[in-house]
Amino acid sequence: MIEIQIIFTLTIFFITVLFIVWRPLGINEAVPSVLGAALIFIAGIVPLIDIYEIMGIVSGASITILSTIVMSIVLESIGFFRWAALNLLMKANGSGVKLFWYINILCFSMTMFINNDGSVLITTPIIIQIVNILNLKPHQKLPYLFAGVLIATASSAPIGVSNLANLIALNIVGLDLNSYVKIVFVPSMIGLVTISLLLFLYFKKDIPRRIHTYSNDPVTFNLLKAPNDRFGVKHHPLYQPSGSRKPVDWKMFRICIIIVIAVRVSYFTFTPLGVPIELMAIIGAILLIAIRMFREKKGVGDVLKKTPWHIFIFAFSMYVIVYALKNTGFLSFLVGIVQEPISGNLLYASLIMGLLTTVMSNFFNNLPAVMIGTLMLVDMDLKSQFLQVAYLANVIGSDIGSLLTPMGTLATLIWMFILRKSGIPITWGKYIRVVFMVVPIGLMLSLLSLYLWANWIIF
Amino acid sequence: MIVVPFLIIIPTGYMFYTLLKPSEKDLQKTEFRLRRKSLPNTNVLGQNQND
Repeated sequence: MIEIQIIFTLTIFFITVLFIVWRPLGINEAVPSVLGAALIFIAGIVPLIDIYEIMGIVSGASITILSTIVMSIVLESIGFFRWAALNLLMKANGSGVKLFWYINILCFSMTMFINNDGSVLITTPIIIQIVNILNLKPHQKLPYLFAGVLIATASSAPIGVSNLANLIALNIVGLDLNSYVKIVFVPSMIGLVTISLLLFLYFKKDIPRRIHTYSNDPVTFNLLKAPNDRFGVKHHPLYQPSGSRKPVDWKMFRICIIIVIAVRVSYFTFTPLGVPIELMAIIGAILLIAIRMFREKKGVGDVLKKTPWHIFIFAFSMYVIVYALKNTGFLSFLVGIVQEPISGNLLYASLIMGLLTTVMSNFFNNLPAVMIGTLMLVDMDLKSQFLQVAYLANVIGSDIGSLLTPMGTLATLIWMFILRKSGIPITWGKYIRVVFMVVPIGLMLSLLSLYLWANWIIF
Repeated sequence: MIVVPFLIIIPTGYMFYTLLKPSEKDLQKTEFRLRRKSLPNTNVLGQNQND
């Protein structure tokens, strides 16, 4: 009976993941996940009591991410990101190398202060616009595009609040945000800097030394308008049709940036006092909406319409399916294989969990992979130090290791879709050839430094 | 509880702010444009499409 349940659950799991990645007829990713979860529930593999528990774990994380998305929708509607692109071009001042590093910093900051999917979806069209304005040859565009996707995705590791999967996993292990950052910030930054440097070295010959110089004039600003429309990115929750062209309101931008940063600061300042993270995220979103209302006399209708409310249903359903793997005993089988080496040595804990999540992410996407990895760790009954290191290695595997194939994250799939639509097709082969030269080294350095940092500095 | 924001979030936020901050010269141009009712609908060559 148990074997039948395992086979049934695994079948549901793989079919659901297949449909999420494939998206036949452009269906929303929540549809296959809801159908899969419903079948699991009807089969009685995840009972109602577990459903309540899952709801509690997923709801806070989903509300936090939804609030961040609302903030990005407001920023997009006031032309903030177009301004960012224009400003990068001006600051690069004719240097292709400077532009490369500015794009790295922009993508890192966007993920740190918004979230990884939002960062990729917003910055990719901007980068495409920039390289098209500059009339770069196809091979000269690649350094900027690859830097965009790799840095935007990998940057969700350092602070743990930029990624839905990380937030859910944090709730499962019960690790607080400040402890998370203290242990994982330095190792993940080592990985990020390594990836940036290796990308630069890999593409050194392709990065143009001199590019055109642009100034803050209406011509350049118009060139950067409404990239999403041109690329037909209509299936993604963050898709927004073009707004009307407006002059730059720097004072409003400045207030918005300060609020976005203050919200992030408040996460780390007030969660130790027991204030739920989602409350601060909601307050931040309301503040931005209120400022826009005050300065631009705009209501909330467009924001409510564009917000991808289904994210909560998607995350909840995926977790139900993964929970079924736990209830059938399949995860205990996996735990039996890795428990002994992980519980005996911090280095093994870091490497085994990081690489295991990397492999799982690249086979069936990082959201279910990090959920499976985290549930496995909870099942292992590890000592606190081992649990923390193994869990954070799990996060590094899911945020950095998952970049090895486009399948690893939804953000990479979105990136490839946008590039294809904009006439810059990048095959899986080309993607893997570039990424295999930079990500494995960044990943291994991150995992090794996690062990060293945790062992020598933290514990 | 104050360490993370002061050592990581605020410096990164300041870097983000600096990256987006316009120069004084650009800001003056922007302020000038803000005083206009609307931005002309110009094409790549700067020609007004509304004409």
